[in-house]
Amino acid sequence: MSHYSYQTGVFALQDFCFVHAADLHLGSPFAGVKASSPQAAAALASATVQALDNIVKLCTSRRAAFLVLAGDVFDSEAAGIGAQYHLFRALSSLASSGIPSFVAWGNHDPLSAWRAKFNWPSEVHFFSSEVESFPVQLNGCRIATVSGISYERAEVTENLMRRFEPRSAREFSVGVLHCNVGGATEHANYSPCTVDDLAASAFDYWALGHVHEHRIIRPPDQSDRVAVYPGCAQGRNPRETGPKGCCVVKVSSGKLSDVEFVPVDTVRWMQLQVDVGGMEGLDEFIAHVARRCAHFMEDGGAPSAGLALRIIAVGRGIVHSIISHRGVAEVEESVRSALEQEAQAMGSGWWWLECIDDRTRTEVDRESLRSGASLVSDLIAAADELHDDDAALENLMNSIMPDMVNSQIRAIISDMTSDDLRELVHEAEAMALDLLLGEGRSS
Amino acid sequence: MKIESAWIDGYGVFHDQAISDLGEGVVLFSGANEAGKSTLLSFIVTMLYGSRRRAENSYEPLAGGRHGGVLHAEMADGSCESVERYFTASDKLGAVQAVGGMSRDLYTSIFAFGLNELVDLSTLTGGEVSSRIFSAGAGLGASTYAEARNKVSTEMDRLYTRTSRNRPIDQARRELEQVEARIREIRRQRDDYSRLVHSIDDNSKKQSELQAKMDDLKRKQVWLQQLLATRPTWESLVVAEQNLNRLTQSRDSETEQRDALLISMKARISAIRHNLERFKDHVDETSKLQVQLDQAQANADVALGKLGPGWTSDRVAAFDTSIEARQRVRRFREGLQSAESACNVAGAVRDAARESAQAAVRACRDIEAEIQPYESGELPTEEDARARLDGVNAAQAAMGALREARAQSEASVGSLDGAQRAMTAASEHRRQAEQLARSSSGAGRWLPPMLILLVSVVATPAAGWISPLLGIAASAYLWFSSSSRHAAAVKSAAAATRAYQQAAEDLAAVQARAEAAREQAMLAESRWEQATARVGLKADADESALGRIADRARSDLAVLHSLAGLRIRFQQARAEVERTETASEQASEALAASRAEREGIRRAWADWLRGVGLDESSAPESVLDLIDVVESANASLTSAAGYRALLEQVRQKVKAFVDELNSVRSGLKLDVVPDGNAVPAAVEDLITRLSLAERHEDEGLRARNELNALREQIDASYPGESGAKARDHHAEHTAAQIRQDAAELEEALNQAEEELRALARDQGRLISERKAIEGDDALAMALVNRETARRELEQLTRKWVRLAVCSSLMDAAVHRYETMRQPRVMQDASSALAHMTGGRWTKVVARVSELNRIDVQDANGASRRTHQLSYGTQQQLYLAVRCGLVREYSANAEPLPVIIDDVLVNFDPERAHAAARVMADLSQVCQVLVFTCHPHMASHFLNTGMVSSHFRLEGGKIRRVS
Repeated sequence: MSHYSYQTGVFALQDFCFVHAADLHLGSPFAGVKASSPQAAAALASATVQALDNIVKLCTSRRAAFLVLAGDVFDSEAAGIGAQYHLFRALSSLASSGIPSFVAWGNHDPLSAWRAKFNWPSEVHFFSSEVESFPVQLNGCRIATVSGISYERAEVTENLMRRFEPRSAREFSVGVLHCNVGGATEHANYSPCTVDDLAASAFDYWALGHVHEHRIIRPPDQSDRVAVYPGCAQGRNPRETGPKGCCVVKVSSGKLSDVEFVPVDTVRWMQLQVDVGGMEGLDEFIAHVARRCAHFMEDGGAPSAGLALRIIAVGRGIVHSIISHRGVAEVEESVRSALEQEAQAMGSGWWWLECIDDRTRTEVDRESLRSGASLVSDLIAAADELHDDDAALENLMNSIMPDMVNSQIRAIISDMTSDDLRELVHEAEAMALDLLLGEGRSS
Repeated sequence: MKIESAWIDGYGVFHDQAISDLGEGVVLFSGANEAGKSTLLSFIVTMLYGSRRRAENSYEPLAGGRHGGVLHAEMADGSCESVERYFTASDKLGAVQAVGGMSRDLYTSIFAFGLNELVDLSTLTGGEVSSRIFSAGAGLGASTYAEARNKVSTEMDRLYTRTSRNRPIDQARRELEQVEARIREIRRQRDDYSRLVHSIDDNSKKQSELQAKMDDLKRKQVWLQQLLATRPTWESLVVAEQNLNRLTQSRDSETEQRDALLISMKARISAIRHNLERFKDHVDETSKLQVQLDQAQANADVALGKLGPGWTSDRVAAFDTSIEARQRVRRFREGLQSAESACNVAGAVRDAARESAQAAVRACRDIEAEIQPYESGELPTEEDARARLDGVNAAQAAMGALREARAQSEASVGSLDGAQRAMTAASEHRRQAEQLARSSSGAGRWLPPMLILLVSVVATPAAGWISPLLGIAASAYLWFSSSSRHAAAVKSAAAATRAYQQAAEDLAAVQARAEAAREQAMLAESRWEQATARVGLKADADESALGRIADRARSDLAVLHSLAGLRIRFQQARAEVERTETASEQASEALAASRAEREGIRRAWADWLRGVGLDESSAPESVLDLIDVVESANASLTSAAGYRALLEQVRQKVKAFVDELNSVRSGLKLDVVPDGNAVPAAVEDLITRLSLAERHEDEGLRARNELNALREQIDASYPGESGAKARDHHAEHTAAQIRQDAAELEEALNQAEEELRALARDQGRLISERKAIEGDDALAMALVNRETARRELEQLTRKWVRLAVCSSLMDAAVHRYETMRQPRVMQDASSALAHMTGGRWTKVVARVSELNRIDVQDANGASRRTHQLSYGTQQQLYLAVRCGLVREYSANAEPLPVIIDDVLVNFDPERAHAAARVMADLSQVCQVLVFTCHPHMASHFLNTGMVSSHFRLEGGKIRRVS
């Protein structure tokens, strides 16, 4: 370790590391997920705060010099007192261990959002709506400067990165910002900025938030400077699959030396597409799913705490008949119970089947049926016409809507996209074929 | 399938009746009632399908014959099928293969029917028939559209209806609303929480203020309590001050000064008193030490006497008698002995080396004397001698080679002569053999046999037939013998020729060897000349000359070898001389080194002796003895010096004690002590005087101490400067006043404590409430529940919408099907009905959306349901539908014959005629057998011009009419 003997206020080159996390969305629910049991509900409700606890443990175990949280720590809606108190306890715990924290607020938890009042330790720093800088000391020597800014309100379309002044090259500088670099389309375009903005700022490390996937952005011709999205700390819907966590950033001799992604999630999502074609029954279906889950776990695919699974069942065969006759809900319950037992037998944490997205079909030759001259072929032709005609779809929905007197239910139907409706047409066609050709779907 | 002919053995009224050549188109059977139309119809059906029940075989033969017959049919592919059935109780024959998969029920409903079947709607709506009309054409399986549609509607209604309240979607919506209400309720906790935090802060502030007030009251309370507690002490302090003042005033100043002086010397006097006994001991010890000193001095004097003059006590003390000194002397002793021994050994070695060197010199001289004679003469070099010897050897070898070459040359000349002779003999032998071969060939060979044969032939007339036989035998013998000789001569000539060739080759080889031997001899001669020239001889020299030269050369080599041996020995002797001389010099040097070492040790010993002041000639043993004596003297002197020092110390202590005593007494202006005997009494006097002064002092001191203790006691209760303030407070207030103040303060303090406890209780409750809110995960759980409820509602709604879409799709498909894609059956039926009704009803519609329903439409699309039609029109509709079914079936399978039994009786003449026309048209697809008892009905069919054959049934007979 190169070390200079400096007096106060003079930068010292010490090796250290810090932890960068973002998008914790503490206390927020799992969107579009149905908790099938009290255990599942409890696990989902506590997953985000447990991820925060894991971050705190990581800071302690790695002896981090400081912790950076780059926005969306809370969901504005879900920022309950319990969640806020949990953050207070977590950061206070770090402060008592001598680890300071730097928190920027993002579009989900802007400064305008309601905050419970706590006696925050002096080691916990919250960025205001103006760029602020805080020096960080380690062993009495100044090792870095952390600068950041918070969203004053939810929708910030200004490029906040331009408010940051370029830093001195002598200090290791960390910029904290919740923003959208490069206009990622899957996220709202708040505080939009470009890679060129990153390059012009000359910060050694940009601790970013907003994008829920872990990404490392290297400005051109700046090999030792990066901007990093750690991604969300906990996947909160079935689309957010794979490991979620934070980054341990290592600094050596005043230069960035490593960015290590460390999973901290407690429930990991896996979407599993299962082709039921050729399966002899539900037992084979369950065994297949269990095998895939086991492989996923063996490959280190999930934390020991839990694996949340959504099965997309496709194909044609006996399993479709079983689902048709017993109903998806009953089959889900059977598979869920079997997977939980399998996980227990393997000592592999908690496997939870969220749902089975049943896209199985009757064993029919659709094209052959369509080419015939029968009621069935007319039905398939009608489905195809409906599928391809947005206006007809809209008319159909409008014809259905009056039956729905409740506004919530009408809203659900209104929120359906064209793709949703087209998928519904496919499902309705399959159902009609089942009924007309003898599958006899009971639910 | 077309029925070609049939023969009824016995069936009902028929016996031995035949029908044949039924032909294409319509086959008409007419006859009065009971003429046997139904019997014949039954016969045909039963022949095709067999009998199902015994009861059906009611058409037992009434006119004789066996119950059964034969039916011949021609299939569409031109093949013929014959069915021969005779019905018995055990008849179990099924349908013939010709009817394909069509069941008997379907056949009797669609293909072979009478008026009863025609008007019965159930014959069209049941089982297989209805599936063909309503489902098969629609592409459906066992389930019907209506069942499917009903299931969808039922499931939709099960989930939700406009007016439902407790269906699953209603329940899910209510659950969501309840969860959202719960979330709103939890969110209101924010306000509660803010109020709590504010209240806690206010409460905390009030507590702080009240606590400060209480602290002040408690301080005052403590002050008053301390005043009350210290009141008796303060009162004692007042008394003590009065006592001290009284004691001070009772004594004069002179006494006080003297007592003060005595007390100031109290420590010295106490020390004198304490040391008195020790003083006495010192006086006794003085005499004992003097005796011991005298004894030690006497021992020292004796030891010094042994050492002799020059040894003083100082020298004895300074002399080193340590173990190291003794060891050093011993090392000198051992070194001297070792050096002496080394000198002796080195001298012996040097003498031996010298003798060896002298012996080597002598040996060297002896060898030199042996060499001297050789070096005086002239000797050739070894190379010369060896060259001469080699030359002689080469010349001797050349001589041998020359002799051998000459012998070989002479031998080859002999061989050449022999070979030439053999060549000449072989040539002669070949010539003779060839001549013999030539002589054995030619006319001599064949002429004798021929002559003998000729003679024998000529002699035949005379000698008879034996003559030619003998002639042939003799000529054959001669021929074979001359041929054998000729072959032997030719063989001998060939052998002679090969021997001649071999001799020629041998001669050439011998000539070559003779030439080579001659050249070898010339080469050997040349080498001989060179060899003799090399050793200085001429070519005519002999072997003795070569021997002499060789002997001389060998002698020179022997001399040279001897000389070389001597020279080697001389070199070895010289080396030995040098080695022994070197050894001698080394031995001399070693001796000198040993002597130098010995001298060095001796000088060191002398130096050491000189250093310690001893005679340089002293031996180590005597010095060791001297050290023992000096050590003894030194011990005695040391003891004497010790005793002397102790005696002086004791005497000094005695004097110091007396001096201190006198000093104290002088300070007190008392008499000094003249000698040691008066010391005890003087000491006792001082002690007595001191005791008296101390008693006076103690009285005053106790009074002051009591006063100070009381003050300190009061001050201890009042930290800081407040002790004086407390005393002032005591002086200014009475005890009753202080008690009154304390009581009032106690009451105020109790009141404040009560207020503080109330605030603390409130604060605890508020903090507890705040912590409950902080630690409550209800919102997170409620949000999860809301997502669950939302998801549930979404899924149910989606399911309902999917059902609605499914319903819509099915409706759309039905509409399309009913309006655009009626089955072929219905299309054909529509055409038939339009013909039958003269265009009144143009379309038959099978409603897939409503089971068992067939509607008709007119040209304008106006519909009418079946039951709304007239009886006759209904029958026309059903007949039209059957025509459609027959056409549909015939298009896909073997066309079976249609058999109708007076089904047009309820038709008006116009429609009956049209219906007959329709049936006649149908006969282009399949055979149509028409049974009627009405002549006008028969006329309708006959008028179509499509009747291929007409049979008349009458009296149990079937007669062909046309």
